[in-house]
Amino acid sequence: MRLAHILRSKMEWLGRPGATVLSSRIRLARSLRGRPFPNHSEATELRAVLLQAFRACKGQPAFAKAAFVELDDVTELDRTLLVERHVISHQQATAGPDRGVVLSPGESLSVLVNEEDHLRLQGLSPGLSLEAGFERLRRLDSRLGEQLPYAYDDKLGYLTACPTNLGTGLRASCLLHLPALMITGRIQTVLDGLGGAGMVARGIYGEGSRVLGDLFQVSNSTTLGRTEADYIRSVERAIGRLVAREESERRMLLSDNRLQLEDQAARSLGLLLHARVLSFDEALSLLSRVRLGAELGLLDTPLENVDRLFIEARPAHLQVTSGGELEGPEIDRRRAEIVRAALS
Amino acid sequence: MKCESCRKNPATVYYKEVVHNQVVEKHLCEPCADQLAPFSLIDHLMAGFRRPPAEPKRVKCASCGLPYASFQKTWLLGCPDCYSSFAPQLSALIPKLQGFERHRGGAYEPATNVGAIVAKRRAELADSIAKEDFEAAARIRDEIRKLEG
Repeated sequence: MRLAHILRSKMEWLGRPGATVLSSRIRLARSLRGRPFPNHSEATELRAVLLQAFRACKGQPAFAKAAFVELDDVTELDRTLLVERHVISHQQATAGPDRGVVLSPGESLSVLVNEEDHLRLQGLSPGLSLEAGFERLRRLDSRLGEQLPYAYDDKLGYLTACPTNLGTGLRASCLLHLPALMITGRIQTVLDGLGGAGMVARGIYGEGSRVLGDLFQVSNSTTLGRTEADYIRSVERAIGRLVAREESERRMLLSDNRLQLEDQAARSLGLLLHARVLSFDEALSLLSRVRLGAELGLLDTPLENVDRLFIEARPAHLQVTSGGELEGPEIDRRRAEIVRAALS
Repeated sequence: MKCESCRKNPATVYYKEVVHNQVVEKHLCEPCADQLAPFSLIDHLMAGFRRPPAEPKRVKCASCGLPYASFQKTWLLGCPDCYSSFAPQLSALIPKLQGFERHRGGAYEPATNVGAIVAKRRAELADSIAKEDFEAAARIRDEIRKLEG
């Protein structure tokens, strides 16, 4: 199956419309015994690993309909598309030849080849579903491990290029929408509190304290010394607490500042419906307020349309759906068009 | 190597500073380094990088040749064998990063022969049937047939 086809297909991982937890992701870092890590590899070595990894993946039932993509072979637009979908990192997109990705339809399973480690196995599922997502990933990992000689040490576990991924190589994360905690300004305290629980949080878009769209990713900060199930459970527990906090802030806002909240949501919708030029930053901030308003019943905008826009308003997605590359100002004009069409 | 500041104690800290657009590099002992950069954040960040006394500048991975100094800059090791080549340095660093020093997750037990793989597949088959995932079950059944030739 072609990459373009997969990227145009439905995003299976987009969860229940309006949910606080949008998606769950687990990744396992794996390296191959006897081979230098990608950052320390010659081109021939990278090539050999890429072919070896692709061959091992080709035999996997989970990848029967998958796309096998050498990143150097696809257009820059397609690479950006993969970054926007969080399938590959920006670093991987620009790293040069002999980097690749194996991607199942719906993006539920993927394997990145020659990123920081030889292999990064990723599972993506909708809503808060880390445990279910891990089950599929564990099976893929076990099967790939039969064909590929993983670098493993009895004391240190799976050996990774950076010691921060050592041991299980497991990073479990959730993508959350936390607009009420942002409005009340309690977000920082809440996120700081996660550190003590062994979690790390970051804004998905924007830098530092300027988080765009009120979207956060929360994941385990360490990978060695506990079981996979322990790490997954501790992330699920932390996410559960965060969601409860967000919900209590929402109830408080509704009872104390209902009119203001409704006004903000309606103004945001007004801008989205009437703007003729929309930057990604502005669109994301306004969509976040509309999403909150719709979720609380203050607006009757269909939530699934709002959720879709969080992805479709991104620059590469816009260009792909518009059928070709667009220049800067054209992108913002086109964004305003699709937002208007989706929300009116 | 002696500390470049007091010239008495052995140099255990590598110190780098930018002064008037010039990079100044010094090898210092801990007390002198603390005077130059007395805040605790540095301490914290440098905790893993304090050099053990045995001239580790020359330490290289026996397999891939990566110098330990390169890891100190990039945080990336050169190959899986670096973990044994740099064991003295990493055994101090890893518990600081991870809070533990020993893996407790699932062990890597690659199935080495057809019999073992078939046994694994049979377990998967039973699993799929229990979950009523008959599409997967059929696929695994075909695989077992193929493996058993």
